[in-house]
Amino acid sequence: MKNMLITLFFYTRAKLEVESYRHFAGIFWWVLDPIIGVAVYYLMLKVFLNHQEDHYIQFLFIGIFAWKWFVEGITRSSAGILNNLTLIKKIRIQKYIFPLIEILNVTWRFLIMFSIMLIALYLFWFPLTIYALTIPLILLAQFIFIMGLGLFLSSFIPMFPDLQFLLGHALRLAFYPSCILFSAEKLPSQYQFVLHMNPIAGLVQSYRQVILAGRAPLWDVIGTAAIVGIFLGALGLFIINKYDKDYPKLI
Amino acid sequence: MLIDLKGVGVCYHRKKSISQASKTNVIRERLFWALKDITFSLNQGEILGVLGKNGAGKSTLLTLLAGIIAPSQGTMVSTKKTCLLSLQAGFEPFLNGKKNIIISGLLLGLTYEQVKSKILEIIEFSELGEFIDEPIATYSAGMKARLGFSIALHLSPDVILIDEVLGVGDQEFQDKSSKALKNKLKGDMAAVIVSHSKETIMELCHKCIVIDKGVSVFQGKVTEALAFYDELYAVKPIKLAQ
Repeated sequence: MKNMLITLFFYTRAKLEVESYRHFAGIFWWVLDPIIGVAVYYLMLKVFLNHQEDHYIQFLFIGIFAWKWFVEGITRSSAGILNNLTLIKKIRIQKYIFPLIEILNVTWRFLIMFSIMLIALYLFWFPLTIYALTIPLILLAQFIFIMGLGLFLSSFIPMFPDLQFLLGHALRLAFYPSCILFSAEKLPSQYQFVLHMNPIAGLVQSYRQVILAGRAPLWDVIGTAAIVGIFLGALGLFIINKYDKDYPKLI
Repeated sequence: MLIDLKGVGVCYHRKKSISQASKTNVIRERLFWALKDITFSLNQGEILGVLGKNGAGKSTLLTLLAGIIAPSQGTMVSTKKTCLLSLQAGFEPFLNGKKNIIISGLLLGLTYEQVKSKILEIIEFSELGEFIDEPIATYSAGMKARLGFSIALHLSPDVILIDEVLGVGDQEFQDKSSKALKNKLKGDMAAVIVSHSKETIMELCHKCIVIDKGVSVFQGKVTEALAFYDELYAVKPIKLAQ
């Protein structure tokens, strides 16, 4: 177990190093990428379409950051086993390590960016309230949710690689009702149930309630996200374990 | 007994592509038996040679013994940690040599401390010198092979499985590496060697099996196995019609 954790952390660190080495601007992209994303949406929605929302830039930053963490974590971890089949055919190894490396990698980058953003928000715009202490809990719930869903998807995507195409569209579909670009009230009441089915929407709303309004987060969503995450993760580990000797036979 | 196989077979599921399936109007999986009936055993300190033609199932057998895949039929008992001597598996091209040594070791299931204690030996054997701190992507093919071999040689566990690689690199390093591996094998090591080189098999192995189309057709002494193999695939004179 201890050795597994060391392997996981060493490998994740190595991958991070590789990624910053491969691109000219290295870690600057980590910072630049979400900022460009926010700029594009701000230009589209605020400037062109005159979308009304208080503190829209700060609002967007929180949404985009949380979404990027989720979507990158899921996209990369779901292909974790599939992309390492060549190695899996040569070495006997715990397969769950591959999706986990991807998630840790994305999470590490997210946490750095998120901390910078948090400091800036509290320093320049919003008063620090007691509810700021709940931020780590929201983060933990989202982490568990990403890990669970990632492990679950990675367990069967090697057998059905075509699902990767569908996953991309499913994630894009989930983007709009996740309250990234607009607040929950903007959605007509007959469609509000979509938001309740989507843990990411609740988590994003929680970040905003705590940071922008200084209010309590949505406790029920935090609980649900963590429980669903644990359930999916356990299911994923079960499938990965069951097909441990069959992944190397895939072409 | 370290390894014991009785009537072992390995089956691969091959999906038909849609174009193939439409011709027969049936979409179903095609089964392919890479190994059908393999029986042999390996004891401590023994080196087993595996003879067979291309596609006979030798590499599948090694993957099976390494615990990477499981038998579809028959029984297999394996009591010690086995490992395929796979050179350069898991190399990250943009990381330097040292970090790749650690990653390879961790992937092979060793602890961080175990890898650390061997790292100087590995670097010295690979003769890479200061290149060890450069990213592997800058290495020549020979340098990469040397590093891969040194890692495999120093970090491999109780039972080694070897697929045709006894020496790598230029002539000088090839001699050195095959000598080092042979020395290691001649200690109290158990190993399974797949090789087309009769000299290698003669020199290293204590016993041999012959595999033909996934079936172990012979098991016994090395000289007898080689003779059996020659007879099995002897070029038969073609009869000309008169």
